[in-house]
Amino acid sequence: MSKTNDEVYEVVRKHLLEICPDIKADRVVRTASMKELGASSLDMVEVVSCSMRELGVRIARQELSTLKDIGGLVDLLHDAALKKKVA
Amino acid sequence: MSSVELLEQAFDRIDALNPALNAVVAQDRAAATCAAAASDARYAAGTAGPLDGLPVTIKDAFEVVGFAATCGVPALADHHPEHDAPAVARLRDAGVVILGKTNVPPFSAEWQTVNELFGRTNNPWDLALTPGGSSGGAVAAVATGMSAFELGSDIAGSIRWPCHATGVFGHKSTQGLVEMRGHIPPAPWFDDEPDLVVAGPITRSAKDLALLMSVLARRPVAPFTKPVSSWRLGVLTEAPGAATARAVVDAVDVAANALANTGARVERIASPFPFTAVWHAYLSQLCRMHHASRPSRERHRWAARAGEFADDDESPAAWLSRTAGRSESELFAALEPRARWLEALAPCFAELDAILMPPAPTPALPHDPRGYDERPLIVDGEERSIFEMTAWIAPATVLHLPSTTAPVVRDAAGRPCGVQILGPLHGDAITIAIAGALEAATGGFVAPPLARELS
Repeated sequence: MSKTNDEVYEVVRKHLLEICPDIKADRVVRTASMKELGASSLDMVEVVSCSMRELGVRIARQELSTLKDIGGLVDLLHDAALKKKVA
Repeated sequence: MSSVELLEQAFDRIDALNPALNAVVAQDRAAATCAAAASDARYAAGTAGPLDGLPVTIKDAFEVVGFAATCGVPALADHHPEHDAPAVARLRDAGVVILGKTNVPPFSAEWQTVNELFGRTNNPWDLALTPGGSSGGAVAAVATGMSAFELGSDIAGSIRWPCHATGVFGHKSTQGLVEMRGHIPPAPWFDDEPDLVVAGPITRSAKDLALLMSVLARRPVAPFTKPVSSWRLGVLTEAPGAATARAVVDAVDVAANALANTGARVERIASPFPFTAVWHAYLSQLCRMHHASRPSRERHRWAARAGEFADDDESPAAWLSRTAGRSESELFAALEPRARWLEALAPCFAELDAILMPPAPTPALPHDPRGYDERPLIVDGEERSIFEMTAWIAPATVLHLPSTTAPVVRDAAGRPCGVQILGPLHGDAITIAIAGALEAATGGFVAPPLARELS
């Protein structure tokens, strides 16, 4: 069964906090951007690739380049997971 | 020779030389063979493009359909792009046969070429030396004929330093002339075309640089038709605050004399821009890029050490800790005087066509397993700050100027030494033409012994 949007959010949040132990957990919300929280480019690449791997989905660069915040990433990953289930 | 035969020749060279060099890190021979057959069909139909059938590898910093674009970063091992980077698409449209990709350091952010995914690339002139970085796999492939040419990129000398270290030609184009979308860095998912990063060709001749720029450039390159007898060239070989090896200064002098002998007017000049201010503005950007390409926890560790260093401490540790606590916009602010510096440079380029200068502080260096934030730079046996690697590349990068690197001589140890030819904004054809005149005067590219044995 495909994960809910909240479950996808927990996957992203878990990887972000693991990869960036200096980010305070209570600052990680859907409206925050990883960059503003202090994540480096390498951290962001790792968060996205770990999340994609765990969820078994892939997202095109063009879609990811429009992202503004963590919520946007979660929505994209969730949509990709739903499409995969339909396919 | 047909495109398929040309490709098979490249495969033979890769089979013979790549095990020792580890420059080509991905290949798709089946797809390349299909592309070469299609190229032969275009020749037969009279529809071949300007680069049709040339078998090439592409630096693994660019997105190329059919290959992972890893940029040496394990987290990107599965990053399979759906589109070619626009610069790569231009080459493909012109008919090139892409057979594989070449090695880079992680995020193209090192002066050696080694990463966890593919290991270390060696210099074809001496396997104990690094070919430099970040276009280290690219220059090794071009110098040994495993690739007809390469597409390089340059943020911290990544075209100029490896071309100098392996004796090939390279062109750092005017900022913005070659499209950079589809290049890593920045990270492939979140950023747009960044400042300071440019792409350009790496070749075995100056003529090839000109041909490739005519394909890669997204607007026409202004032609340069002045006869050599009316060229005026400046020579700059002293960098305040940075050391330059004798052999490198000698190579610039050889180039200056050779061009003078062909009829150009050559004169020694003082730096026409505030050398140290430009360099330090660059170092702020280098540190910004360093912090972006490493885990943020490293940045926190550097920030915590900021109090250990005096304000005038120029060591890499001081720079990295001083910049770790600053925001991206604070670090970008170091570039604010750029328009003023360019304005001050205008009278110089009204007088001079170009400036000859060293491409790097030293000829090729031995491999060093330490990261650049831990190892010193050795110049003529003296320990210096590794950040001096950027003293000679900073002006063209900060000021967005074109710069061509051309091979000149080999030093007493047999290491290639080149010259950097710095031109005015949009003067890409000027620096390439001067590299061409120098090539005619000094003999240009010489194949490393390793590759000569195969010929």
